[in-house]
Amino acid sequence: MARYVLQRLLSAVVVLWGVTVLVFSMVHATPGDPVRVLLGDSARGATAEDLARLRSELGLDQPLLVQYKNFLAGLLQGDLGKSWRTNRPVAAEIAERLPYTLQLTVAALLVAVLIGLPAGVLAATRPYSSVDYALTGLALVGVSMPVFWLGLLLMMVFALTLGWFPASGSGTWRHLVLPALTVGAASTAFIARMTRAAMLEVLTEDYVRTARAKGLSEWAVVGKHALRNAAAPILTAIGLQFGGLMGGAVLTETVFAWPGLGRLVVNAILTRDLYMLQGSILFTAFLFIVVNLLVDIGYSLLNPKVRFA
Amino acid sequence: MPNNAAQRIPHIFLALLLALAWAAPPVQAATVVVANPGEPPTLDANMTFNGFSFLVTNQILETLVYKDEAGFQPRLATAWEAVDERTWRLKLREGVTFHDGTPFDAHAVKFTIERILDPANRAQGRFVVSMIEEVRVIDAHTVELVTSSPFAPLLAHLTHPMTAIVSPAAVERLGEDFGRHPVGTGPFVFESWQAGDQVILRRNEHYWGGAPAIETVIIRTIPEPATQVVELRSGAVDFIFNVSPDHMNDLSSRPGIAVRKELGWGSTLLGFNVTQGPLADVRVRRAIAHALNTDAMATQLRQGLAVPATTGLVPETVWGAAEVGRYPYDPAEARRLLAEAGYPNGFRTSLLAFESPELRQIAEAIQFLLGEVGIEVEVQILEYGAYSALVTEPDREGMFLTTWGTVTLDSDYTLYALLHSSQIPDNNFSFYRNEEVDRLLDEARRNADEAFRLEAYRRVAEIVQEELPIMALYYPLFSYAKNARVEGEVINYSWINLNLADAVVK
Repeated sequence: MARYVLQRLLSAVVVLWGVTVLVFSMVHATPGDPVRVLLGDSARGATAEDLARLRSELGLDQPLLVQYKNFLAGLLQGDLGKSWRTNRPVAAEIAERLPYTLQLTVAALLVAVLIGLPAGVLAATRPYSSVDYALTGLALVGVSMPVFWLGLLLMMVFALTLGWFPASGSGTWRHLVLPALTVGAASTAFIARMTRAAMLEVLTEDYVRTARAKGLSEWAVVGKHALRNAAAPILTAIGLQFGGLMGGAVLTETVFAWPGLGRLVVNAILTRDLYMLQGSILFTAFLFIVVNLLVDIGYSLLNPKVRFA
Repeated sequence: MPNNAAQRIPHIFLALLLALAWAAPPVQAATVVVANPGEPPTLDANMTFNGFSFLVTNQILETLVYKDEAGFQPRLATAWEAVDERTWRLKLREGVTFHDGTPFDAHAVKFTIERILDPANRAQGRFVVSMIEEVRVIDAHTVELVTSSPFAPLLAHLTHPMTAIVSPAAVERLGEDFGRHPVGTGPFVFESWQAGDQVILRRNEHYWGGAPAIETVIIRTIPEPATQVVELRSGAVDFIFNVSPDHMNDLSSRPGIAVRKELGWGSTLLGFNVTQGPLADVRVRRAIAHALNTDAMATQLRQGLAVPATTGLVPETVWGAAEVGRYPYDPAEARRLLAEAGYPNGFRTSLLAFESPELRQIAEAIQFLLGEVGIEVEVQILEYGAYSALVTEPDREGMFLTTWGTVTLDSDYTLYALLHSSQIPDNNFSFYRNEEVDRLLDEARRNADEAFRLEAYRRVAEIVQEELPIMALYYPLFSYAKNARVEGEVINYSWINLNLADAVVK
């Protein structure tokens, strides 16, 4: 087991290194003069000397390899650099936003599991019934609905018309409801479909028939015997969704003015805040890799066969 | 170790708080909520050049002077005079204290300007005051500003929000952290900043202009326009800015909501690289001017959120703006001029713009209208960094779209940057070089005589309209919508100038 974890850990480090190369080259290969973007409107009126001075102060006049070396060296010391835009350490900016993104992601995952899992089970126990078709149809809508549009729709109904929840911002649990529903919608649908598929497979197994033959209640058959055996693929699906949710949160955070990491990334892209962009993408990749690692390990605990694969 | 009961208390508290939050009305009466369309990078006005920052810092920090329709107005400076052609003497307001209790005086002015000038501080808007060579403290409430060469628009530059006076004691105490805890003399005092979410300000009980009626100002970052509109309509937000034409039409008919649109300091411009290809021929540029129905762009495309450009590159709100002759919409004349220039069948060229819904719309209109006279336009819409890299390339052939704000409200700010040959390629994207224009702009900078300067800018406007290195398509109006319960706000020229000092909540 320890060997397996170590293997996974090593490959995670390699993936992370790959991400640093990718992120660094993406940021530096895109056209445009970052110094001008940094100055924004104030580049108007700035002289060529001003621009050159700033470029050299930021180390942007050095060869790319040297810039990458400096970037990696800083990274190993936990230094993600300073945001050009705010002049504060990138790590501090991320730390400020992280709790909000985690809150939103966890809440969305809760929504997804609490709605998606029972819905999937329900559909699987009544396959090809009208309930099943209705749930599968809803799931299709959930998966295909653009996050942006769904967010605005929820806002119009629950904030503007009914006045139950605030339309945007943060502070109370009520602020969390609409964004969590929005981010969670696609995952809810995905988890419901995965659960349905996994359950359908398990429900035809012999031990389920045996359990029924023993005269167990339907509740015990589905809840205890079938669901436990279907748990591994469902857990994997949930784990994968966690990463996907963090990505989906980018748009939702913008729509709901939620102060999370996603908006930090969007802002970094729009303002070409290189160090912030590098740092926040790297950090998100890091989170994603950690979650996948945990899912892998959790999966191997559930299913010992995986460890030797 | 806390026992179980003690552990439970915070939970009960939390439940109570949540219940209260549920019951609470969206905003309290003496609180005004303002939507900021973007997140301020910092609240240190001296170090930034960002409108999202200025919207906030303008509530907390104050400039020496400001400008309205009647001209320069006193703020932290009460009187000013030119001692000689390089020296301005300013009388400062007495009895003013910073929010941290330290007195506002000549030392603070010297400190602030030198702070911006110090290259080590990397102030983004340093160029706004870079002509100041020395700040002399004459007495506690008198300073002299000495410029390296005669600089007539100096006072205009001191209206720029980035020159707002900061508390020296606070800067020394907080260092770089000042940008997170700004301390000034303004009508509102900084209380807290939740990054990405909101800045909370309380009224300055000791404000020299009298304590504001509004107790609390909350400036919330809400990037998405559709969300801003929902928040305004639900009553959770009182002010939203730069409302799109569609939203403007929708909101104007809603009860309890007031919309305003006014001519500000902005211009939307179409420029040409005058050194390359067919566009190097002035007849071709004039043909393009005739082919564009700019009045329709302003009134129809922008749905009344813009007015036709009648005073050249700057709107009439800007000092030095002069009426110019215009190129009427006349496709036949455009075709005639093209044929005369040797392009009877038109030609291919490109149009560069940076990402913005407005510029995208205008670029498409230009593409269509020029197509009508045979000019095939390839539209390139890029993010700002890529745009500025391309537009400063001397041998790039084609046109560019840009927007400009004459923030100092003096023609020098715009005309010098866009037209003076020393600004190639930093701001003069047209690569336009005209000795007479250079001379006029230089003289207008050096000469403090207003009549002389006005005449110089009028002459520049004439030459530019004739030679067309760059032309104004229209002047955008700045727009805002508010909850009608708030009255008495003053917003001059731009949303970033929101002033709530005398506003009241009904």
